[in-house]
Amino acid sequence: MSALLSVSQVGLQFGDRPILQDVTTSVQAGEIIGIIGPNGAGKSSLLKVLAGLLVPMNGEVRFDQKALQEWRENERARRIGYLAQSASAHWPLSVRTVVELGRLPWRRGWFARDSAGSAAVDRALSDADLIGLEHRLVTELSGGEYMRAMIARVLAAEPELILADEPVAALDVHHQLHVMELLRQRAANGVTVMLVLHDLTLASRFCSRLILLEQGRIVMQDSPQAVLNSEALERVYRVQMKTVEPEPGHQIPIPWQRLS
Amino acid sequence: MIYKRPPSDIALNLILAALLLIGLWLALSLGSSPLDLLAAWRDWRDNAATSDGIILMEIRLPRVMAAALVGAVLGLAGAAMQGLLRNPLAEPGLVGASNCAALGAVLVFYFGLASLTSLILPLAAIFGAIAALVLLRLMVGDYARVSTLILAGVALNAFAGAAISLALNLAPSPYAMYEIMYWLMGSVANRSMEELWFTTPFLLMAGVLLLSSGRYLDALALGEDTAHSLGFGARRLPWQVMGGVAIGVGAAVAISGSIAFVGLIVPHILRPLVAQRAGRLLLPSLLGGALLVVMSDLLVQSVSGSQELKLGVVTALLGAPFFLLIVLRDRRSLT
Repeated sequence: MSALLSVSQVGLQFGDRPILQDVTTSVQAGEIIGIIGPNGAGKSSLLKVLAGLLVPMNGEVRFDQKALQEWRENERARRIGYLAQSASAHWPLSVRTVVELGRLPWRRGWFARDSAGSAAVDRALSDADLIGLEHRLVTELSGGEYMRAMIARVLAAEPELILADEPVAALDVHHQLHVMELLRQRAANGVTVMLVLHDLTLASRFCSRLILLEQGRIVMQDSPQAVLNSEALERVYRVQMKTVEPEPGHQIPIPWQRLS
Repeated sequence: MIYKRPPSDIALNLILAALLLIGLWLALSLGSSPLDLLAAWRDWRDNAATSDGIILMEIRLPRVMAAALVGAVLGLAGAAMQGLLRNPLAEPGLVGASNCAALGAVLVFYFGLASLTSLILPLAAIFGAIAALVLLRLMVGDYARVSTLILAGVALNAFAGAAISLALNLAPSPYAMYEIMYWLMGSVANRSMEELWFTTPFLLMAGVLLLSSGRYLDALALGEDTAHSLGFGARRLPWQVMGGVAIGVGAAVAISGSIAFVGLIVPHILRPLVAQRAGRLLLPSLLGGALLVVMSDLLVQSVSGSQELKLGVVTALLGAPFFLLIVLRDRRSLT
């Protein structure tokens, strides 16, 4: 089976500062890939490159066997959903309106009609546990409700690849699990998910593979068990980890103290 | 059912269009002194050179058309700017095009060229607006971050404003200075059909550019990166909006001089009626802007005494208290 997404030797700089260097990976349909690493490691930039928002100076990203830059923007937008880290709404729109904006790639052109749109929006609202909040203004939501509305906006587009930058950072533990389960369920239906995570426990529970970044380079990419129990993890985060084993054979690192 | 336009939008646009038609009828028939519209039109059609027929077709019709066109393009450009900047206090003048267009016209007065032909004024104004757009492009480059665009626009605006002051300062004669000041106040009196025809292609171009950017403005509500990920690229669309605003405002200034506040107030009032959707605000703002300026000009005519009141002065006088209202409403909602 050929890869849905293949990234080869991608490099990116802002001015003289290297942001990504020699990033190479490939992603199969249905994977849930966690991108982890300390602040400033290039996680968000990598996600933006994969979403087509930043154009790498070196290397190439191919999506469904065609270079990402060769996709028509609208076509790309239908197939790749992107959730920004500080996803913001600038007008006091209703929750439903925000979710409907996710359908915009299907509505380009003066006479476009999006016949599947209404059902997709309903499904996304219900999946993100937003029934009853549809008519509230996003500016009046709690942090968690707001984030779920933003996630529902991505789900409404029904993309094949979901790129999410810290989708659960603002959520309470219940809704963290809820969103991760939701993504896992989409993955079971063939959707590919790549997300930036800071929570190593969630990374270990839900991801099929982890990519560990340090200063723009991939240090390690492997199964969560392999990455999370590696010495590289402690070195990259500069933190001493202790390991707990909530279930036999499932080890989770707990950040214990800073290494100087 | 969601992805067709909800009926409320159609209803809003129909109501505004109906109000505009009533406004046009009132403006044509009342003017500075009432006349019988149908009789005047019949006189004109039958080539009976009655004063009513001539007043209607050669004085009043161009004036009312000018007011409607200027109001429409200012309302539309204001809604587009507020959507592009995601800021309810943005106005079309921010891109620098209105001041540059005004500068073009001011230079015509300064060098005493206004009497050459009636088209030289709109020509210079439109040239000024297009020069503003070219300068913006040169300053900002290919990839336009909205914040960079605005900084460049503000700089351009300030420069053109300073150049206008310089022209006033160095005016060759008190008469030139008086002409410049008077023109800058903004008016739609004594326009010719010729001037309107000349600016129509630019107004149409602005209308097409702006009305077709509605979905981009909707997407921008979620930020530039998200809009980009939804397929609204950072390369062409900001320029489509800026270009539409610059050309439209340039044409408006060419017709009427500076008319303040219309592009600010009209979208502001109408936004709650379209559920805050920036894209859906465009058409209602076009209609509402036309209505506001036609009615303001009717007010100008009905209260003018020996000294003619200027339209731009009246819209500014109406606009300032409106801001006070917003302040008071905000204060109430906080307490």
